[in-house]
Amino acid sequence: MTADRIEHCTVLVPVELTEDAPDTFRAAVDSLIAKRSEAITLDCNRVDHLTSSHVKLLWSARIRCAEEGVALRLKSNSEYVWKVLKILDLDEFFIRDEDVDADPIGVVPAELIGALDGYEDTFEAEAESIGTALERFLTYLKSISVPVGTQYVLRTLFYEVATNIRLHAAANPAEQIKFSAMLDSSGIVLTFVDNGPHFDPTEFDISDFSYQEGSDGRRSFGITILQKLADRLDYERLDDSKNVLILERKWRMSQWIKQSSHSAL
Amino acid sequence: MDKTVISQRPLSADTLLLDPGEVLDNSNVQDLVKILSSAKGEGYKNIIIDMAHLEFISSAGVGAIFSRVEPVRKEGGDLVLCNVSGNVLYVLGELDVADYLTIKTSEEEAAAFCGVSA
Repeated sequence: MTADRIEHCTVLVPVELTEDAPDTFRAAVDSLIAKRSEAITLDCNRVDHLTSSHVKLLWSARIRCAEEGVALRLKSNSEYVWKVLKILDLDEFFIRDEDVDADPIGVVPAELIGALDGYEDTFEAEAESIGTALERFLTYLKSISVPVGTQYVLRTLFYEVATNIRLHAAANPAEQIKFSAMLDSSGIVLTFVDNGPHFDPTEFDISDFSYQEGSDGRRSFGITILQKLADRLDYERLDDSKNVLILERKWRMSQWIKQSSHSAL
Repeated sequence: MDKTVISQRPLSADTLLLDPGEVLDNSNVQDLVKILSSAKGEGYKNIIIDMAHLEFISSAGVGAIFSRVEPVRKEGGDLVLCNVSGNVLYVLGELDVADYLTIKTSEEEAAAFCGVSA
């Protein structure tokens, strides 16, 4: 963990203000302040009807951020939301965030993730073993309430990496793959270690279609999927002839809100 | 039912409907390639792939479909996807191929697009 400030994070304003929602919302704002975020955006895009309770929440966040010197922005596509704030003479207290990102990356409070202690597995680089290892990993993701959309992306990344290792380990199908997943409030990091030949998926330029043409004329999208779906992709060849591939997928806030519509995120 | 079995059903003399099952990956992509390749010889100009049951598509599955689009279009037909789930659509979008493919919301809409009368 570094002491560097994180640049910018988004907190989704809850649509329905259930009993716990205000406290969870404030906890989310406080956790970003504690992480020394330079700016926080309150995303109101899902709030169609701005109640007095919503206004109180927004104002409490405004006060907290002002106290801590954190810039606060407000994002809403609804002119109704801005009209209500204007009527209350509050609109000038919020910087309007014009950056409309449908799926912002953000920080999820640890309590929403069922486990932060990580996951480890070892399996052989052959189809059946990869398939059962993938099932075990999916069961783990479900058990800790990772959103379905993120599960799908992680399933894709796992499958593509493992089958790629299998492809390159063709001479030795008993090749072992060591896999681990580490979670924190900003995302999940997948690490694959194998003894196969050197293969660095980060060295390919995915805008160059020439390498994607397979021997059978079919275009290959494997490397493209890894580079597109992973927010970070690092490769290292260790001295003991091991490949280490690290992929990070950050949490997408819309997937958490879909999973728990009354959540404060 | 084996979740990797690809079933096929003619909708008309020139339109074939495929159901790839729950998974389209290395385990069954060669079956799809064979079906797509032989469809032309059997007189099918249009191919509809109904993804209503598809839970997962790998890069190999995307490649098999993508690579068949241009040959089918050159023959005056099309390869149409329908009932595509949000997760599959997300991956197609990330790969920048969603706009290139013909995607319809339902089998009926896909069939109408291919000129199959109800």
